[in-house]
Amino acid sequence: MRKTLPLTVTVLTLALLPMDVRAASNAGSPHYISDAFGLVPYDNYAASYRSNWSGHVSVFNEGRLDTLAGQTPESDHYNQPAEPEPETLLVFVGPKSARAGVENVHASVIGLDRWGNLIPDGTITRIDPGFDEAVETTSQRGVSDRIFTPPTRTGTYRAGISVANRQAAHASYKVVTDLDSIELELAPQASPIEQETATTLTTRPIQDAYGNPVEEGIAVALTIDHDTGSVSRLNALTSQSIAAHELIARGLPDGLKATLSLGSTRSASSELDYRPLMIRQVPELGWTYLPAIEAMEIHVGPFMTDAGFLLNDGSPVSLLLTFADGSQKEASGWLEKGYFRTLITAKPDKLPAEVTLTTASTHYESRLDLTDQRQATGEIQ
Amino acid sequence: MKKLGLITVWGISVALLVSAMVVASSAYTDVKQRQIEYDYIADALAVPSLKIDMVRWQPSKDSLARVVTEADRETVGTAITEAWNAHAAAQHIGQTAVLADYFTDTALNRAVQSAEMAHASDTRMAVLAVSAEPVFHHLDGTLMQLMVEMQVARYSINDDGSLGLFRLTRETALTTLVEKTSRWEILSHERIDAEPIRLPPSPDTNAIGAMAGINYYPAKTPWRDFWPSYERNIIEQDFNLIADLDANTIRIFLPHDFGLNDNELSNAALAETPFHFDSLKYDSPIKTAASSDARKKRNPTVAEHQFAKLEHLLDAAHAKGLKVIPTLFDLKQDYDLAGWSNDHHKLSRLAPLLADHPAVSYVDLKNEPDLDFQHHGRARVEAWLRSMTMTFKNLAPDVPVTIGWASHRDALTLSNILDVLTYHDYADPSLSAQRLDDILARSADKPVMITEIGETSFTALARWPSSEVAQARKLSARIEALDSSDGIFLWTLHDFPAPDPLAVGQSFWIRQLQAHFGLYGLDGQPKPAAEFVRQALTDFLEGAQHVTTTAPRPDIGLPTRTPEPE
Repeated sequence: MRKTLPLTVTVLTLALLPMDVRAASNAGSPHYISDAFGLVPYDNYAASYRSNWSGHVSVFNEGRLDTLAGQTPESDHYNQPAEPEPETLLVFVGPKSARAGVENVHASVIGLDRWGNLIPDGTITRIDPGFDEAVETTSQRGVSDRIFTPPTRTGTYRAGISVANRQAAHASYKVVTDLDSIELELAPQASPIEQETATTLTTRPIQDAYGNPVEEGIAVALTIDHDTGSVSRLNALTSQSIAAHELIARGLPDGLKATLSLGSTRSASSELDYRPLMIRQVPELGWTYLPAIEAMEIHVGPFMTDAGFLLNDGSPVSLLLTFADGSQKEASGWLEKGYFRTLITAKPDKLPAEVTLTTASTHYESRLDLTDQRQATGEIQ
Repeated sequence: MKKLGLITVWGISVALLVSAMVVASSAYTDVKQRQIEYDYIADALAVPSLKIDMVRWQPSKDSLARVVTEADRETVGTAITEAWNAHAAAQHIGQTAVLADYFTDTALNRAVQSAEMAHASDTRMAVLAVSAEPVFHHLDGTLMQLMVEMQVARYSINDDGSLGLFRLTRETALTTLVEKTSRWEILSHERIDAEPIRLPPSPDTNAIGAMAGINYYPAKTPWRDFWPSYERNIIEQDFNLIADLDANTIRIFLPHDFGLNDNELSNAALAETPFHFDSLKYDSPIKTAASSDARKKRNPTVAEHQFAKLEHLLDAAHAKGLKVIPTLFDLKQDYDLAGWSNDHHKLSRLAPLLADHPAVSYVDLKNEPDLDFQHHGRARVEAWLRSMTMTFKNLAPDVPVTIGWASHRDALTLSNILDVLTYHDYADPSLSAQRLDDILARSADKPVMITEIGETSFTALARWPSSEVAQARKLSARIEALDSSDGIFLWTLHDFPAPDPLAVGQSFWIRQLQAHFGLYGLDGQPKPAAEFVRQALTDFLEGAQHVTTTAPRPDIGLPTRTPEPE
């Protein structure tokens, strides 16, 4: 109810009083009235809409203290009742989106009479949940309510409520897919994932335990575990109850495992069929001596894949040099623009050295020679 | 010619000196009057108020469609507190627009109309406390009904500003709230029943006995610095001095927000405080929270720290055989209706401790509230005093209550609901006995005590306006004049090197006067007044004729400085 009632309702209001305050005040004329919202001189009270507020009302014939008691004695009191007929019905139906088979729906109504008072207890109320027979109940403390279990089929329902034959506006609520009961699974791959090629991984149709499809536009995450402590994560939105994740595979190791997740629901982990990355040819090796620090800078590259692209930046590379005297030097790092460079604290007079390169799950044996600095030969293992 | 010139210079100098003395004398007269009336306290304070949830929750007797969580209790409690505080403010200022933030639908309509009516007809309502039991909670958390038990004060203001009707009730009501965009608003509030909160039978005051007391602050940390800088050793040393003066009681001051701040002390604050807090000894609502396991994992709150200090003070006094009169709402800045629930909350926390501790003789609810009549309105101040007095007496029915009136003219105000009548006597000492006799004649056999008398020893020039000997003489005369009372309390134990300007004002004169009311000087040595007061208090307690300044003094063994000649 959002009406503003007039402050002064005049004589008509007085006539509507179910109880005559003057009669209730046994001795003398009332001086002040107290109610739920304060204290008011009787004349103001009687001439206003306030005299229709229901509840406990205290009447004071004196406007001064009784010093012995420490406060003013009450002359009388009475309970102003609400009118039996509701004028305003405030309907609360929720949750607005109930999960199928899991959540109940609560339909309640606050009944207010024309003065805004809560309607009396015991007022007959009919509540129609919108999918079943209406039930009859009674009001308590101005409220009538019913909790019901909605159908397991998703959809929008309209609840109807009437109180003492006054009909409230219908309130709608939805039954939605229970995302906690869905099963997530990747659809079988038609072919292995090819390196550096766009690939689409799709889910099987996503539905809950009652066969309700997941709604459109729900985010489904695909997490690929690299088994190296790192993961790749892709998000896709459902469309026609399926989520399709597109990826371009580059530099992924073997043994990829994928997991789907939607909200708090996760799928079992499944292995992806994946064709490993191959290097087209052995990268060249060279060295440059840095006399100031008595070290050699070793440079290796370019690393070309069998798809004809430079191996992606950040791919890990490790290098092991075994010199003629049997000593070894190790280095590791990442590719940048198809090349790998590293410093080895050794002088060129220790060359030649046997070189073992490892990258993209592949080992290479090569050789770094004093006289043939920038040429290296070897075979891919 | 030269001689004439010298005479002229001399004459001008004398004239300037006389003028300066006249000006200084005039200023001192004004200050003295203000000192008597302490008006400066009312306009000198600026203490920020705390926002405290007025709702205490009770478990639901019936099962609810939805559990009421701690988060629900916090947000709903805040909504109810803010709603009634806004309603209180709206009655006072007559502006109701703010109510739309806290009330809706029927309740908004009623809140607006009632506030407008209250403002227009000079009536007021203040909610002091709410105890709430949830009886309905909608499954989706958008609607809640509470069966509440509220403590509510209502009063009317007469045309002359005095208090008209006053009513303190415990009432049952049904409050319906609706959640609107993450905040709750009151949709409906209907009163079901209302009963007056009655005064319990008056406690026995015979056990109080005659009191010779000292109003106490430490020398270096008076007023606002007292509790934050509380040091056990200083308190215990000072209590030795008080016992040596043959006093049997101390009157202390708890600031108006004492025990209300539930914020944890920071590590930095704990490192700075000289007071180590371990645990609370006495039962009180605050101990329940402080004793939980969670307490061991966090720093103490400001309130817990304050309670621990108060416990120590009471224990220390008890160990010395001293009784304690706690003054509860010191340095209270205002009487806004919206703050009454905080004050009620404070009393509910303090009352159990004060009721249980053997050192507490009676409680002084408020220091010098009559000085607030002019600034805050007599009706409002008196309604607050009645509300808090009746609240405290219901919380601790065995603890006698007084109000420390600044003037004898108000010493009988609220006397019918008070157990001990007290006032302060700084006015003309020649009329002290007459003022006391007037009060005694109308005291209805209740104990009458003068809880503050005092004299400054401040000397600006040649024992003017006072001196240490004058202080001793005036104090003795006043004690003699008041010896038919049931108690006399001196202001104060120490001179203060730096009186709190927020408590006594910025005036140079007042600060100097206030700095020298002590029985002990800034050097820690007793002033002549200490010796005189000791004997006078001893005589007072023994019911003997007190000594006068002209009578020979026995050697009482106290170290003292040589008094300057009169």
